[in-house]
Amino acid sequence: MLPMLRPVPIAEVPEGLRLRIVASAGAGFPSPAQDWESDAISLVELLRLDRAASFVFRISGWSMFDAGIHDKDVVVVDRDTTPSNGHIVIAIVDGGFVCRQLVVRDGAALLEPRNSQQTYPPTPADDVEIWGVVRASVRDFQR
Amino acid sequence: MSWAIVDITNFYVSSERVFDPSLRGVPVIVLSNNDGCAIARSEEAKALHVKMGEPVFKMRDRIARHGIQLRSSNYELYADMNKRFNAVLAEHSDTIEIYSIDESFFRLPVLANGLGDVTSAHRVRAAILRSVGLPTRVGLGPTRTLSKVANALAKATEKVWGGVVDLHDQALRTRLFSQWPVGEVWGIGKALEARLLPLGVRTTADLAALPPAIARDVGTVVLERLVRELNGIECSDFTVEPEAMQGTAVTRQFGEPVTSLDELREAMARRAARAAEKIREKGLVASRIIAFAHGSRYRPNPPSASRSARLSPPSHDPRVIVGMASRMVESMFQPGGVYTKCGVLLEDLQPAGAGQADLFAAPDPRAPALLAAMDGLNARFGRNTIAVAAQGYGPRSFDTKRSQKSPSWTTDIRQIPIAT
Repeated sequence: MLPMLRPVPIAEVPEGLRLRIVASAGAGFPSPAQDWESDAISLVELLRLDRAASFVFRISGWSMFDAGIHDKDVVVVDRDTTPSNGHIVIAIVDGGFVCRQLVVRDGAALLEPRNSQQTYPPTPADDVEIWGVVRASVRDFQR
Repeated sequence: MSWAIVDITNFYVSSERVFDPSLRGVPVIVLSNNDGCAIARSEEAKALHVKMGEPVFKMRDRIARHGIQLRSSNYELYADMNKRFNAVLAEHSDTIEIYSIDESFFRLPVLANGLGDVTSAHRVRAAILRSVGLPTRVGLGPTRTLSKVANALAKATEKVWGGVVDLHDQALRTRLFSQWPVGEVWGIGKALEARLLPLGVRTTADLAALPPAIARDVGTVVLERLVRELNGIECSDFTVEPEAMQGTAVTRQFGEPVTSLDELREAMARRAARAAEKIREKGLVASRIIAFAHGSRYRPNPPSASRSARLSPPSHDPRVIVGMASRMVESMFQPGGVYTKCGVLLEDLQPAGAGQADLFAAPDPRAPALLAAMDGLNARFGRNTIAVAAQGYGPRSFDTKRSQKSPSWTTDIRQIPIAT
């Protein structure tokens, strides 16, 4: 059976859901705002999620807590940014993805966790594949 | 301007490897629908003599012995990676033509010395590898046909020439064509190859030397154009394309066999709805519908039946087509039968709005708006967001089996890759 959806009055449509006016009704006083209308803010555009080289990952754990990245955050990762000192990156370590800060110290590259409360071992980054550079993080407080 | 074509190396396997590092450096096979046979192989799997289209049951030994990794086809992933691939390509060329899921033509300027821009071609490959993680090869030439031959040569010589071959140079063409079998040329199928053999045409060089009039006699005007293109003369209207769609078929093996009328009706409805959607995408309507269902020929007394009917007026409306297919199922269902496959074919296609009106049919004036709204919603919110109720809702045991499918890494927020 198809689930029957109850029609939702516009007043109850949750904030943030993008509404597009298809056509205005013929009657009534024309909206004084119609010449100033512009598109609603889109997170896709703001986070540039429509770029070919942008991907999203979910973070599991607290290894980057001090850098402001929490467990269950969604991060936006650019593959086409050249990783450099100080970038937060997604790298492949022991066959899995990790999120760390790339630090170049005394000529050696390291992948360092950012959590002063817990110990996560830093990884030498010389032989590690950097998958992409983390550009943004998104947190849903309802989770 | 020169033509270039870029193809993705072992596309399905390469896409899987972007998101699953454990698949790198090991033999990997991507399987067809219902996990039946190999449709993509990594280089390591090719080295183990896994053939294209080889059924899984014939390779059980090799799979176990060499630890070959199997994946079901993840079309959600491949479609998204293809979009990204073309988006990167579009940043490097003003003109791109998407040719198939893993190859696209594009144009690059010709250098002052009359040769192709190999440096830019390498830059395109590097950008695609960096931005989307996919390895590619590029062929360059003054015509599409030559770029396609160059691409095939780039594949064959990748270790030597680094994945780019340019065929602008006549002397190089002469040298390479004499060793390149004619059957490897784009658009030369088995049948044409057999007809060319008595004329002494074995290599690409032989074909290029064929007088155009003879080429037309042996093949058609298409072969004549192909010969001209091999000689660097661009035929603007030359394309090797599938012929205009005459009919469409949506036929699928069931994941688990179907034994009840209700299930068979739903399975048929899903195929009918998809077939209707396919012809709507092309702006066509169908005048004939054929539905069939049968069991496995390896079981005793397999049921088998088909029905066909005229659609008048011609239609692409799922309410009409699904309704018709459902009634056909009722008339063909054999109680006790074990069904393994069913399908719907739509034939006698024509552009929507071009056909003769049916004098006795009452056209539904609201249908175009309804179908446009439905297709729009399905495009935006995912397939079958709006469906005909007869299709049922949710997964079914008869759905195509994709038991080893990797997550939809890029298209479903619940399945995105995890970093620790």
